[in-house]
Amino acid sequence: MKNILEVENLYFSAATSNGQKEILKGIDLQVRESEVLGISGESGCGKTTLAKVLAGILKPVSGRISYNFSANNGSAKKVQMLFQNSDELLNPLLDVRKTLTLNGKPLNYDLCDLIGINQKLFSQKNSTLSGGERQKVAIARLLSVNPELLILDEPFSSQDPDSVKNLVELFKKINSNYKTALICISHQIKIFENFAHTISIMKNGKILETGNSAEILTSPAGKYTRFLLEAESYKLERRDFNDI
Amino acid sequence: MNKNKIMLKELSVANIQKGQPYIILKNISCIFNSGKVYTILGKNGSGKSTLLKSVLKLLLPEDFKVEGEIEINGKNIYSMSETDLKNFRKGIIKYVPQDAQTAFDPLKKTKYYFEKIYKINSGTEEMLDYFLLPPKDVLFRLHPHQLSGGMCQRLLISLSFLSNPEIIFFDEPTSALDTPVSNLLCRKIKEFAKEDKNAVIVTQDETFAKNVSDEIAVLSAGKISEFQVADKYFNRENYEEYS
Repeated sequence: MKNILEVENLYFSAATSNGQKEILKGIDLQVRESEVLGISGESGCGKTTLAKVLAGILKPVSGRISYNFSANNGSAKKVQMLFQNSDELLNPLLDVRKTLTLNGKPLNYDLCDLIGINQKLFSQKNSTLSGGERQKVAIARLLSVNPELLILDEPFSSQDPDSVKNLVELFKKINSNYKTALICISHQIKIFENFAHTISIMKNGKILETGNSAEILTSPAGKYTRFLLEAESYKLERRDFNDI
Repeated sequence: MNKNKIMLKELSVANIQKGQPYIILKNISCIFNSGKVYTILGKNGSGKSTLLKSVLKLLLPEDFKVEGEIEINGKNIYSMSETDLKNFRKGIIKYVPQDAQTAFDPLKKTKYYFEKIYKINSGTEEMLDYFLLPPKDVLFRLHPHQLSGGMCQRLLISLSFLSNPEIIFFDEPTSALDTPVSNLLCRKIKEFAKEDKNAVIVTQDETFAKNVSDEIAVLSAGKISEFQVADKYFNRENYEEYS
């Protein structure tokens, strides 16, 4: 399978009160067609910044990002991103039908069915939807423009366990039915079990380790990846952080 | 013992904002004793955050109708005057809200919260180091918007511990934390409760709940459907999440 995204030596800096701060430091990654790539790492390591650079929202300082999509070759138009706070994706004054037809095309009932948006919701304003319903409408809106790459930024945070299971199943269906490649960001590394094909581990703006999901979760090569997995057992003490 | 007893007697909360009023919590009665960590589990929208806010009397009376009694240290907080309640809360209770980033005034540097709001006198460097935050001389020059969501949450948690309260209510305290830092928070909350203090947590994070809690309350359809020892809750044969 061909790579639809190739990133080489990507750098990004942001202005702070102490001058420029390097947030991404030489990122290399590839995403193949229909691949699910999970990205995990500590909070503040640059995961969301990387997602925004890949989606074309932030401009990198240096490095190469090349998209190789079947249509609009070389552009980022086929990339959509689900932000951490999906409430902000929807205009609260529009109803669901209008939201999902903003692309000028008729409402895609099959898509709504796949995602689990009840037809009763079509006439409701976005502001009246529950958090879970809003997230589904936001996902449907992103898929309505047929993206080839969907970036999901912490889609599972603040979700109850049932909702997490349902969301993982939904993303797997989107991936298999539409062949949409996914980059999913989550600080919960275990969530990628039976979901991501590949996992990349980030720390301090760098990708430390990339490998297939089973390898990373069962026999990681890197010390930091092992540290992240050990954290799942809640045995870590403050001193364990000193040499990481 | 049990100096900080929180007692809920037939607490009911209804949303009375525009449109059809609806009941969020129905006749909830329970006791949270000091020396233990209590965790309230429940699905999205089950009323967990509303429960915490009603215990603290933070719900606006024009939007929510609250019935029943809430006693903290033997004092019914719904019969106190606003001034008495404010002073009572200020002295012994801290609340860590779900969205840490919006809990801060974006125009004030973090130093303001340590010196003017929480009036922290000692232990700042050690606490910042424990929660992997930048040292005091760096952090105090920053505005909250210059911190990541996880850093804001750790900052708010640090301030709550440093102000040495008797009771802390945590609303989804791990929502922006990575799992290694959640390990640190888990230890800190357990240490806090061991000092005969009271920690009440609302979370969706079952792994965190399993490791931090002494007792579990499950909220379902506005009622407490289960209230039991955490080990028993998580280790029963037919355990299912929020069953």
